[in-house]
Amino acid sequence: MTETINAPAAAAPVPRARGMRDLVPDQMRAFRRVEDAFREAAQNWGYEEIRTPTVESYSLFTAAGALSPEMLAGAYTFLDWDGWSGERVMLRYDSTIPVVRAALDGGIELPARLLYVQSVFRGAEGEEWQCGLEYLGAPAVVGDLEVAAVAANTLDSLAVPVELHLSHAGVARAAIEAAGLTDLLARRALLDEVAGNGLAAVRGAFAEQPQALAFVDTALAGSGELALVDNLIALARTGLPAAVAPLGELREVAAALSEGGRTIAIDLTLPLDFEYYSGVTWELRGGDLSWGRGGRYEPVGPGTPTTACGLALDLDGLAAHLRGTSPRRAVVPIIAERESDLAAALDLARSLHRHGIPAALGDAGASPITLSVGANGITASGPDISRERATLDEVVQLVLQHK
Amino acid sequence: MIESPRPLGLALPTGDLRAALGELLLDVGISTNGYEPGSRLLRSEADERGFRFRIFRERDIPIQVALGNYDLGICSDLWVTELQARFPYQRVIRLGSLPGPITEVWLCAAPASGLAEGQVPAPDSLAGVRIGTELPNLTDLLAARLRLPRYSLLNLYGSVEAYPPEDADLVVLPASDATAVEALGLVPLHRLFRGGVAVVANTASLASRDCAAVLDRLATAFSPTTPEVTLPDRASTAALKRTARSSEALRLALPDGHAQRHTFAALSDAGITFEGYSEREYVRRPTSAIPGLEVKVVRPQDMPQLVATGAFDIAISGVDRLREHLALFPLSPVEMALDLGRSKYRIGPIVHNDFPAETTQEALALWSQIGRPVRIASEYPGLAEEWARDHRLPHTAIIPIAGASEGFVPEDADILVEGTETGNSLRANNLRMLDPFLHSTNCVIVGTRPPTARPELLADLLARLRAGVQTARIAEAQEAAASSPGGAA
Repeated sequence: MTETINAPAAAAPVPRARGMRDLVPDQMRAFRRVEDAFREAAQNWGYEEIRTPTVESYSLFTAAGALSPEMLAGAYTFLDWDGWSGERVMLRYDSTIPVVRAALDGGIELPARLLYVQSVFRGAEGEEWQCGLEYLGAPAVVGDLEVAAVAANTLDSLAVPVELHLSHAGVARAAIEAAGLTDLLARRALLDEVAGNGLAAVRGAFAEQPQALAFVDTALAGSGELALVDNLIALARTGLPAAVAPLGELREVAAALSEGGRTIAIDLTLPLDFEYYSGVTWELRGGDLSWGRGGRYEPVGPGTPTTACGLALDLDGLAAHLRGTSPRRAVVPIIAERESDLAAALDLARSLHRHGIPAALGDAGASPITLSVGANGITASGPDISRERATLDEVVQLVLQHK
Repeated sequence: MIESPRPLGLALPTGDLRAALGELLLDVGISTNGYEPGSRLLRSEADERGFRFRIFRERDIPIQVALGNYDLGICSDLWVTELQARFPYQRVIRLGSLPGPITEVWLCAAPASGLAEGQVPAPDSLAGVRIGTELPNLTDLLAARLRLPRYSLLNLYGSVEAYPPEDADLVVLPASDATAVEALGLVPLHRLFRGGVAVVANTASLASRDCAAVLDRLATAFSPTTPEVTLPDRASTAALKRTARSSEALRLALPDGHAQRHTFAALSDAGITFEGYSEREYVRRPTSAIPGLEVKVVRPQDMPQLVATGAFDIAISGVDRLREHLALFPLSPVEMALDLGRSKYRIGPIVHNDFPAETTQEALALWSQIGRPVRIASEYPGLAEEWARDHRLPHTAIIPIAGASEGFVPEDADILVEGTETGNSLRANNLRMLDPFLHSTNCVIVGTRPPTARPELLADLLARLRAGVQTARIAEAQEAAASSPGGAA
């Protein structure tokens, strides 16, 4: 291939940055639908909205112990705008840690119910939008149920069927402890693996412990109903005693959700995802699709609550699933016949807006009715409408009839 | 017109590997005329087998292959791993090893740290630790494994071993082995990496181009060396002892490398000498006869940041290095206190001799219509970006490079922003500079805030250096007068 620089080419548009996406109007309609459903569901449970900065200190994530070697590969980090001091910043990789920081900075009283709609930035995935919430200081079980209910209620109102896959981070932690690794770094290395691959990462540590191996293999065999928890508890009593209490808590949450009419599955194959999870964790699934994840965690740092529950719904995925289901609102076009009619046309538009009717001057796309303002006052016309000198009330009635 | 297919591109390293690798390539039947030691050539044209080669600094090779500018490359495993540690999604894969030197990367500390060989310090003792390195990606990986709660990464151009203990608590640096680390006066704490010489390929090239002519020959030389990154899986309970810079002394940074002889001359003009710092030789910590003055030799590229952060109070570097730093960080609290007037050279946009423009203005008109990002390679990415912005180039891709810069245009960059003293190297590589935008000299850098220690000593040093500049100018004028027609015999 050869290239000659002196052959003028059309100036190419500068492309979007890699991993970044536009949301055009029909995507935004679906996006807003998900966002509105989530906000309503969360606000019904008393959650209040919070928004954190896009750029955070790099140290916020390292100090929280959240930046594993695997996560580092996907983190957008750079020197800050005046980075001579070497101070590094990071695009928000995750919202939980910034929300906990913001709650502390803002002196928000605990327990705190906080919701957010914002994006995170992760390597090849680029920008990902999430609807999430953090219930800081949430009591065990009750908090777990509440957060899972917000997620399920959101998907109910969007008519998206969902199955709740439930696990407990305490089981993986018990397995890591039982693996007998005394060194802090060795335990963290294993935790890194569990975060990425779930309980499967610890199986190798139990080759010489048949009871523990039976427990792990049963847990890894696949998802099941409530009875699976009972079987696991039976095996854990001899194989992995430290897992009995977490499994008991998992059973309590699963039973309440099931009795409340939710479709649940016990699934200890779920990856831990983030190391900070410490209690019941869950994933919302629709067939092979994952709509979101959540669970109980222990925030890190001085002054943080000892326990919290959070969730993050995949706003991009849900909006893509619902794309095309929210039609564009019709906009009534208003034509000013003469220059001297422009003020009256503006006045008419404002009146229609007060009645909740979208209206715009000039061409506004397909509409069953068109209004003109001119020498004969307001004229409404359409395929089966023709009314001159209409009053504002008549116009409103006509538009509502033909909406 | 039918275009001939693009020849297969092979990126080869300059530096220490060049001699042995040149022989190996000949042994396996790959002729690379111009790659022999002593050659100043940085590229070859396509030969009858349809491939071309280009010589790069090693650390640029995996990047050039990942960008797709070259189909294959050979370099130390270290630089492949350094790229992939941070950017695992890049389109470069390692095909195998060639016989060659083994490089290791070590986490090290000064003996004053209280740590013994093989002791990774307890992570709890490392909050706020300062780590100096030329390998930021591997260092971040290590920090992530150790879950360092807060740390400062000093991303250095070189001379990393000079930093502990007062200017860095820990360093991560390449060395042949632990003994080599000890020879630098440091304690080897953990081996983070070990690898040899890698053959790398662009994944798209492997999928779509016939690379067999080179691969089948290279494969005959593959050796079993496999690179390994070994993140620590256990830490000791030993805490790291830290050493702060002296609060009593004024700290002066002097340059190593090309700038050394010019700095020595400027100091001599001012009547200042340090034991252990001559025109050609230096020790890391030269001895000063001036009470209260502490001297250390580091890379001139790192000096503006070291002065800005308060590690040093005064440094002798170059105007180019200061301008580059301020282009990246306009509010950095550093400034030039004195132009020493030596080490003169021009920096500007450089193009290939065949480029159809004589001036920057003519060139800009062409670049504005190029229909894709204008690629600007430079060892001064900050200045290159500033220049492109000032000249309203609409869409640019700045390619930071480590050296061997004269080979980048025209194939791998449209413009090279680089400095030249005589222009000889440019001419040898069929290049020319358009309008230079910076005339650089060596200079004294200080912080914009007065130093907390010994401000009177700083004023005295500057006065002596200023007087030295005057002395040199007078001598220069006298010399010019003496050599001019009718001058003194």
